[in-house]
Amino acid sequence: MGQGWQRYLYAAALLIVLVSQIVQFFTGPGQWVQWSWGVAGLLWVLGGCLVALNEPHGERWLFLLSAVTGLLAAISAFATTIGLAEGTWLALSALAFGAAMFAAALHYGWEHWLYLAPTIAILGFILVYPTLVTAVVSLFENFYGSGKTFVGLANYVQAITSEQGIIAIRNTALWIVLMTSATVGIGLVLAVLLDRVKYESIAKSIIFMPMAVSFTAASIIWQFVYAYQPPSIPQIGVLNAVLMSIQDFVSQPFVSGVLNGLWLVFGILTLGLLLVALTRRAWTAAREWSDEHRISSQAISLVIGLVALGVSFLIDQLGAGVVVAYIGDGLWVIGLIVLFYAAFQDRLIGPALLGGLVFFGLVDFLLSLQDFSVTPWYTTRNWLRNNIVIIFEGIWIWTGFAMVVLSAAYKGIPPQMKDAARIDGANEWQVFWYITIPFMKSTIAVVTTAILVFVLKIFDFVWVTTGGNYGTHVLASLMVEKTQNFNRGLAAVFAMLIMIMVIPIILVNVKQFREQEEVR
Amino acid sequence: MAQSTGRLDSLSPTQRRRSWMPTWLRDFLSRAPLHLTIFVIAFIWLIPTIGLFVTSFREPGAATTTGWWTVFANPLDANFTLQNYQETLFEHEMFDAFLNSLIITIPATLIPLFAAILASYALSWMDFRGRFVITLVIVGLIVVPLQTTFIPLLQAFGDLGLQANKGPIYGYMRLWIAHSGYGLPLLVYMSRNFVAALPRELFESAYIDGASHWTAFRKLVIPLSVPVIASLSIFQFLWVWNDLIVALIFLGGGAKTQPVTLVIAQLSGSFGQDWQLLTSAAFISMVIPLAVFFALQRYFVRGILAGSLKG
Repeated sequence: MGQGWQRYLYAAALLIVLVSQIVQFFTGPGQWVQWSWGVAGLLWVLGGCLVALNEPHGERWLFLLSAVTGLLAAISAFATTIGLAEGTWLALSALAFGAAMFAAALHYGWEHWLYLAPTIAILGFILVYPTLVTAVVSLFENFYGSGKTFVGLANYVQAITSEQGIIAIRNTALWIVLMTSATVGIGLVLAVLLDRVKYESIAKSIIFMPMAVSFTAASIIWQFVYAYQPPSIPQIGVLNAVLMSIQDFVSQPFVSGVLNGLWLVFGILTLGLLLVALTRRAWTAAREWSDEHRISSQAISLVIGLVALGVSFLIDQLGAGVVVAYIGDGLWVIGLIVLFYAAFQDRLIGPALLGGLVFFGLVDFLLSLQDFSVTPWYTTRNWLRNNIVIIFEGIWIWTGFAMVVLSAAYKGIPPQMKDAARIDGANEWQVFWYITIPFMKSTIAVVTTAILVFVLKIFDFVWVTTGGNYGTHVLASLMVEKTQNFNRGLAAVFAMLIMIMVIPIILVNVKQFREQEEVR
Repeated sequence: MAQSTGRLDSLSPTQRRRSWMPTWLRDFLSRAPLHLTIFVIAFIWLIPTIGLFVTSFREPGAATTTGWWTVFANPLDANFTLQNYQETLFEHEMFDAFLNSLIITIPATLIPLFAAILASYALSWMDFRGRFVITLVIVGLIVVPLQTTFIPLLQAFGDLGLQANKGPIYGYMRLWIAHSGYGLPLLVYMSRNFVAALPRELFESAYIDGASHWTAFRKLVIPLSVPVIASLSIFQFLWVWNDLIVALIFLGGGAKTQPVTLVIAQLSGSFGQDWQLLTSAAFISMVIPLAVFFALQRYFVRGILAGSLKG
């Protein structure tokens, strides 16, 4: 390689092009862009020729080849002025540049860059460059129009504090929690259950099939489920029709009486079991504290659960603004989940509690149907239900993905492990909890990551079903709406917010990735 | 901790004592909840699609007056017809759209796939400084929401002379490049997992025998990664075939170049009440992905899982 000062001519040429592109990005095109490109091209030619003259070895041809690139680039810069087709000359210079780089890579042993070149070129153009532009645009008001002003983080503040922004963040959180837990949960259950039946492949195909359906087709499919007609004429949506016929059934006096009785029995049973389980947990925790002076994880989860419930109760009693009320509701759900999770882990009572809870939920649901009236599912005033109904479409599509991957991982667990546990007297519940789950941890993490990243970018369902009305906007759909309203600063902010939310998820994966790399 | 309560099988003690019950019946009863759960879930998953399928064969107007399930009450009176399909395929240009979809999808699958396999060879079997960082950056690009890129890319395509109004091929080229970019991070991530897990001895002996990187790539990597190539191509194929938003933004160029998804989106705008047209169009759009999926189903799982099980 030429070691003299001549090679700095290359660097100068690159610098000129880079600076002119950045300046042009902020100020718009002008005659001077052509000139800077032309000058850069000529510097490139000069550099190539001078290095070639100085180079005693067989590498001369390489630098002459690169000089051709510079010449072609200079010509294409002025192509329109001198009446040539700009595209053709640009393509020619790109071709020459590619050839020179190809030859240089082979010659100097930078072969890996050749293998990476297509990927880096495509990604640089399609993802990296536009993202950088968007990051800049998010700091400006009216970037693409006249009156462009730098506003710093004002767009971000406006986005996060606006009512729409809060709703979108709230719904995105709901999507993340519901869709991820439901797809991974149902997928896991199916993976375990389907392993025990003979018709596994057919059932898997049915569950997986929605993955092959486009969002457009899916939205049409689901209109047949959620369709709404006024109560006086026959319903054409499956859900309304089914719920109405169940309502007719449970409203009969006899059925209603039986259900009310069952509700009471299962309610008392579940509550009793929960209390017993929690007492046992607390007892164990207390004993561990007095015996070993150690705070067990059980104690922590009990305290967290109770504190969450207490705080949410307080918030509810004192009354507060919208955001705080959301936090209160969230705490209520989290507290319940933590407490029930702690109770489920009780080996003796856990399974019975789960069964009781399921039956109680079923009976309660049937009873609640007595007050059912036909509804246009996702265009009501109940934002929570509007969202859940749309989220279910996503669950319908993505559960198959989770199931297929988790099922393959489940089949990878050595059967001896499970058999040994069974021989030692573990029941199926314990096998699942202490063998299956720990063994599948890394796969569960991979699936969860994939779905999380996907959920954050999702917008099609919302866009097609409600267009973001009825309190259903998510960050991605709000971003598309802002783009269409030509409010590009805000649109860029929402895009950046999505990206910022994904970064922690990826960082967690990087850790695993690094460990994997060390194993090799 | 509480001691285990012993074997809590799904058989209850009372059932076990009744010896008059034949074994098969006892087995069946003990497994009934299992089958029931699976059937209920599969049923819920299947119902929406069946509704679509049935409606696509019903006469115009039938879908808005009675529920599609009423045809099962007396199937002989249902008046099924194939006319909807005829109409969507030929009057609403679904047939052309089908071809357009293929024109868009095939290069948009092959280009990024080849690039990804090339890159994953370099990222797993060539030693150079910064390999880890480059891998990280490429995979990290998964986080970019594709909506972020639309406006800057539209401008850039225009600046590079790829204007959609120049002719259909320009619109297609924009789509090929864009889809390649959107798919690449995930494709690289998955194919790298697989290529890196190939046995090290294989490559070492090949290098000792004087094989160049290019030879190793052609003679070892490509043949050995057929399963992952198959699975990733399904993945990318489904994604591009089912895409609406990228085509909407980048295609341009009028009705003649539209893929299937765009035509359906338009139909649902202008023929929103003609359910029979929408449903038959939606079903046509599902045929190819479903065929591809069922034909290559085995590979699909294998590719997604590549490397992830060992981790």
